[in-house]
Amino acid sequence: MSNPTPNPEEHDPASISEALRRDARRIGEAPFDMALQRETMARIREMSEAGRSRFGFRFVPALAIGSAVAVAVLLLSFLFKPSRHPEGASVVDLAPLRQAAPRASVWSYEMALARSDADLSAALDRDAQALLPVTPKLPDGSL
Amino acid sequence: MAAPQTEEESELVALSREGDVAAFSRLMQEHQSRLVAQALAFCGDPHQARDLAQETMVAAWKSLARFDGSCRFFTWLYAILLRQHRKTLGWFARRIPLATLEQQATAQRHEDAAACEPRAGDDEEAALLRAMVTALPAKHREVIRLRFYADANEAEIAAALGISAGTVKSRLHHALEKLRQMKEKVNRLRDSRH
Repeated sequence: MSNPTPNPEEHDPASISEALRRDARRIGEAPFDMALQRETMARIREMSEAGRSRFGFRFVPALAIGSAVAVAVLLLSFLFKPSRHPEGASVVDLAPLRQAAPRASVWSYEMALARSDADLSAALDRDAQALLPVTPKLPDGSL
Repeated sequence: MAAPQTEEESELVALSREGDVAAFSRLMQEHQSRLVAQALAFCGDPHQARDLAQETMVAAWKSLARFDGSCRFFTWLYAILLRQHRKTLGWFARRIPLATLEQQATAQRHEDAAACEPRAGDDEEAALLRAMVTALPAKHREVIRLRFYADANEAEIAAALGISAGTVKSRLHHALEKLRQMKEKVNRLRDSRH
C-alpha cells in the first residue's frame, strides 16, 4: 500500500543536494592505470613533435618564399621602370623658344598694318618663326 | 572533497603551458585516477571511461594555453571531461524522456535479479540519481556535476564554463528543482506499481 503522506524531504532540493554529495563521495578514485598514462603521453609527445615540425614546415619556407618574392618585385620594378626618353619618341628642343625675343605687341601689329599689309605679314612671319621650332630634316635634306 | 591547488601543481601547470611534456605527464598522474572514476560514473563502461579520460587529457594538452588559473586545474579538467562526454553522447546528449528513467531502473533491477546479485538499496538509488542527472539538459547537467562531483564553487564553475556566476546560480537552482520534480515523478510511478 502506498504512503499517502509525501515525505517533506522529498520536496526539499537540499535532500537532492545531499544525495548528490553522497553519490560523489561514493565515486572516489579509480586505481592508477599506468598503461593509460603511457598511451596518453605517447599521443601527446607525438602531437607535440608533429606540432614543432609543422611549425618548421610552415614558417621557415614561408619566410624564404616571402623574401624571394620581395627581391623579385624589387628587381622587376627596376627593370620595368618607365624611361624618360622612350625609344621612338621625337625629342623636341625647346631651348630656342625660351631664348626667343619677346613677341611683337598688338600695338606693333596695328602700326605695321597702318603702314601696309605686307608689313603686317612680315611681322607675323617673324614672330611665327621665333615661336615655332625648326622642322627636323632628314640627312638628305628632305622633310 | 577536492584539494586546493598546491604550489607544486601551479608550477607544473606553468611548465606544461610552456610545452614541457614531462611536467604535463606528472600533472596527469596526479589527476588520472579521479578523472577515470568520474568518467566511469558518467558512462558506466570501464573501456569507454578509459577512452573518455584519455581524450580529456589530450584535449587538455591542446587547450592548455587557455587555462588562466581562475579555477582549480581539476575543475578545468573536469569541464573538459564534460564536453568530451557530451561529444561522445552526440545525439543522445539531448534530454532523455523522463519515462525512460524508471524503465532504466526497472531494467537494471531485472539484470541484477538475473545475475543473482541484488543491488543494495543505496546502489539502486545512486543509479537512479545518476540517470536523473543524465536526463537533465546539458547546461544543467554540467553545473550539477561540477558543483557536486568536482566540488567546485560557483565562481569556479563560472570560470570553467565561461559564464557568469549569476548564470551558474540560476542553472543550479533550476537543475536542482528539475531533479526534485523527477524524483517525485519516479516515486509516484513506483507507488502506482506497488
